[in-house]
Amino acid sequence: MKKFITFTLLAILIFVFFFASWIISSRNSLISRDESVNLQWSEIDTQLQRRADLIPNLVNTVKGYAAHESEIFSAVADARSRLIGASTPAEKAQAESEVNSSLARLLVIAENYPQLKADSSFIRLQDELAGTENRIAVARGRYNTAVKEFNTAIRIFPGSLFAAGLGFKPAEYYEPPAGRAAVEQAPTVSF
Amino acid sequence: MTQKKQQHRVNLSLLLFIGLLALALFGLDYCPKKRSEGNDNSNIALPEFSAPVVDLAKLFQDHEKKQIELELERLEKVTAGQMALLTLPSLQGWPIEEYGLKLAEKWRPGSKEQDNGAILIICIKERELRLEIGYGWEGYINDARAGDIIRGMREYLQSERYTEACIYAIHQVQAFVSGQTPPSLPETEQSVQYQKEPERKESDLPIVFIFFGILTVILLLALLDKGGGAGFGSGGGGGRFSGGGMRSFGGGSSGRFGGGGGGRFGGGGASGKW
Repeated sequence: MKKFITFTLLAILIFVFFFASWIISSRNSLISRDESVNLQWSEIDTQLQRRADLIPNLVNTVKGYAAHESEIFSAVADARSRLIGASTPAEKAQAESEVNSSLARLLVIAENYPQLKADSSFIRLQDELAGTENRIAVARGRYNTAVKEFNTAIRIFPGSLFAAGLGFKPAEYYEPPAGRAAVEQAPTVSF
Repeated sequence: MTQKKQQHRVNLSLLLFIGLLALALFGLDYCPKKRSEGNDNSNIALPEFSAPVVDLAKLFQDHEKKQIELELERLEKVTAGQMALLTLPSLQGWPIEEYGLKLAEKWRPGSKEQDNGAILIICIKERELRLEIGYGWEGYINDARAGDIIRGMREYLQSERYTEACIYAIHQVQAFVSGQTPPSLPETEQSVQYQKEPERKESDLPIVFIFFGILTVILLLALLDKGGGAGFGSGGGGGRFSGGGMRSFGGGSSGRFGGGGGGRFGGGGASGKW
């Protein structure tokens, strides 16, 4: 009988051990998903910042040839400062789309100035800008994938048990309002 | 005495049950970790990275292809990176930037540590081309420089001198990467920052626990069942698991060409038309 008690105790001990390690590893996996969301967000942030840094150069170059188009310059500057001031994904997405539309108008205006179009620093700035936009699109796709994985993980079974208790909240997708370039991929959101 | 033995049986099966339950719990936790990178727009048919030059558009004759491959080899020696070339008959409606990134995520030229890779894509029907630059080379070849390379190729492409165009691009990439003078463009120059993705170590943990658990169970069984004879099935169980653990080491090598080294790309580079 004594042996039976020892045995049961041991069994319980083993169970507790497994259960605890299971919780710990589930929690670790949530944490690492959360971190990967943060990481991808910081990549978007970096690229948005880079884009904001490029805009003054572009505006100055255009000014050199088309100084009197002052209305568009201030529109671009406003959009840029809103982009810098934005903090949440939704705000940034909104600000980014404003920057997009004002830059598109600026580039349409540039079409009217053949000398500007031939300016090599203008051409290369456009390369940089296009490259940055492409990077933002890539970072956005990766961020949304990370968000989807994280949000799914806290909603399906092992995570759903204790995600709320451990303080994990669903992350926000980064979705600029319509009107982005063709580079965009439709985000895959489905639960 | 027989009663005691009976008791023993019950206990053994109880233990086994708990062990299996724990394993099942781990299994639940362990399964979804296998993940694919990026979202899968899987209807893009991406070619295999079977050679440094994948000439689907049949632009090159054999000797031209050899020549380009030699240049690529030299670039690899000089820069320690890797560059690949793909020619396509048509993009079939895909934006070249998106196609380029998907391709880069599949081929992954360049080394895993330095991400020093590049891919040049030429599409005949759309007359579009793109130079995709890996993270590690973005510092040497920023987008403006990639754009310069693309523009430099234009006149060759316009006169259908495809081989020369490609060799020009390879030489340019090599010069930028190995050049002693650091990239020195006016304001457009931005140092590109990106964070290394942390290694995903998490999946090692459950395996360790599982092994520990199994070891504990086996040890206990061995201790308690001492003298009970009959070898029990635990040996087989252990074997099965070590098999599961091995799964993560796979990765067969095939043929002479090693493929990509695992370089990562973030959409850097430039595109153009001719």
